[in-house]
Amino acid sequence: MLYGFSEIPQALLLNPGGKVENKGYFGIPFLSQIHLNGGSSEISIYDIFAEDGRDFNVKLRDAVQQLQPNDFLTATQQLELFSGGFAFGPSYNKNKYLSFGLYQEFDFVGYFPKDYAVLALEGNQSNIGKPFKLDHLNLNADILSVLHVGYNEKVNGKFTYGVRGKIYSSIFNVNSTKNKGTFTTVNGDNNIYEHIFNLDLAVRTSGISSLINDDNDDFSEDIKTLQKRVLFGQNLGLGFDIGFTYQINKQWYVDGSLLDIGFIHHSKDIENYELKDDFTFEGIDPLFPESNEGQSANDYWSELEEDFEDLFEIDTTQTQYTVWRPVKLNASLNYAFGKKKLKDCDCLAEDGGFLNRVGAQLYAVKRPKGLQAALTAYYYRRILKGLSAKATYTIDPYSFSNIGLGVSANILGLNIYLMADNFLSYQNIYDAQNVSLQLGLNYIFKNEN
Amino acid sequence: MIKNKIVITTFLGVLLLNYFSCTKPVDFNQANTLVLEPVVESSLIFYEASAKDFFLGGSEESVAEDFIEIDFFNNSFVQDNLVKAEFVFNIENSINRGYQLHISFLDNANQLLERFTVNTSASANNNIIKTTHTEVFEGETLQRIKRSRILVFTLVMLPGEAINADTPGEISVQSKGIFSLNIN
Repeated sequence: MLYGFSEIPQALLLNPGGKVENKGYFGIPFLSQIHLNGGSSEISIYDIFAEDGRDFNVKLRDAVQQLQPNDFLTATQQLELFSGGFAFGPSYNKNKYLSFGLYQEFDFVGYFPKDYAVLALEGNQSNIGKPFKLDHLNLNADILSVLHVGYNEKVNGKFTYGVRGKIYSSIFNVNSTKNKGTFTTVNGDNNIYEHIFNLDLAVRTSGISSLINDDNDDFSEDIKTLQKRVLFGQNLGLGFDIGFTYQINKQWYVDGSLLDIGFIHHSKDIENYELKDDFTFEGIDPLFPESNEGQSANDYWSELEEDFEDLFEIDTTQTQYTVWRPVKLNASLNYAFGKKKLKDCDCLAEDGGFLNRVGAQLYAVKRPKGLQAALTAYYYRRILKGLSAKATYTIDPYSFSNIGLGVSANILGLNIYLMADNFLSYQNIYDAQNVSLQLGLNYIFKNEN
Repeated sequence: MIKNKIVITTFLGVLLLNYFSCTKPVDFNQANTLVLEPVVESSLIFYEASAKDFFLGGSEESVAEDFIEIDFFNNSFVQDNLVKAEFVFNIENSINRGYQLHISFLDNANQLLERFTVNTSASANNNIIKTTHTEVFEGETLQRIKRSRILVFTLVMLPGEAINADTPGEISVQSKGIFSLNIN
């Protein structure tokens, strides 16, 4: 939605090589960009929690049946603490632009742990022979701050490119994306069943154990600890964005960007939990009639009990780890049309003077189990001088009926923008599988020419 | 014309506001009614012997006994959530003697809480005789076995044709437990 909306300075965060329409700006601290986004594929909150008289447990079981292990829940939130930018270069052609800022981000992705849910709901009785796959547990949660500086250059009338360097400071991370193994009950040879445990599970955390294990119960102390991590905190990472815009002719242009090519190395305040073992259990063999092997059933059982304890023993480690940032791809093809009639035109001939634009945008983000993509068609209209709007239709894993609207207004140098999507479900927000809201306030120094 | 556009913009704004104010009733307290009812099946004891195994040191060994100390019932999860326990025994016997398998549940003080017996009859022609026995514990009997800490298995070979080192036939026991849980 924000992508390609070049009146809004924050569009440069989505394409460092995007078109720049101002000679400078600064974001109103803490208000320049607020972005919330949440979504779940396949089902909505309303599907489960609707007050419709149906038994909650029936609804939940239906949902579990309907959901697949590749269905996911995502939530992202961004809050810009400060940002700014200015054009520079020779006075006759200020074709370079530097932008910078600091924002805080929360990012969560979790896949539906289907087999865990089935095991909890049904047990193994109705699933004899079926492996319960432990890799269905797959999630990552991050809170981090990003300090960034971007460079944008309009090389000529046709081509603009940009790069942005980023320093990530992790506030905390929980990561469990490399689970493997199965639990299976099969018909056995010696006994009715053979239970095969093949476990390889790990949850890695950073930034959490110091909060849990500190002596104080004071939440505000913890907040202070977290605040210290916002700038150059204990676990740092590096990354960059790249992007370009190419004007094919007066009316057509293409652009594209790759964002967050980078990583965070977690080396401090780490607590990892690992469960790794193989074990097969087929029962207890009481060795009567008294055999000469000297091992009683109870000895045998004691050994088994120890084996079981070992099997489920969780190792705690402090091993350092690295998590790659979710790389995002944006690309769009755009067509501008409809020149303003001269008699109306007391404004500047921005964008070649075209009032309308349509285009197609592709967005994809790399998540632990593969790409999540969305395809958007949009219509953009310059309604008044300084007031423009964009309507979008998006197809994504959440739905095929996602209509969005965005408005940007410039009033006395202040730029205010507000955008949201999934309007078709505005009558019942709980039934929306995905909601997104973005708003912000900037002060803009306009181009004179 | 400009007025119209302002009207349109206002309309869009109102639409945006609506977006965040309209909901249909949902009740998140429903989560409190969540009930998990998994049924877990687990192998229990298994055992296989041939007739000659009951002929030790030149004489018949007709009673064999073994026990295990169990912690299974000694935790609050099982105490609170186990609503039914079934024990299924499959016996195959081709020995020309009948057998009884007694399973006894004892508490900490070795007091008998519950006991059941699985019978299998003699196989005169050494053909395999298959017997299945299911013992169900619910309600009061379940509460009793939840106190058990020791399980005693006693295999009794019933009187019949004498056996020796050359007597043909085998006996095998396989078993499983079916544990129905109700977690809320």
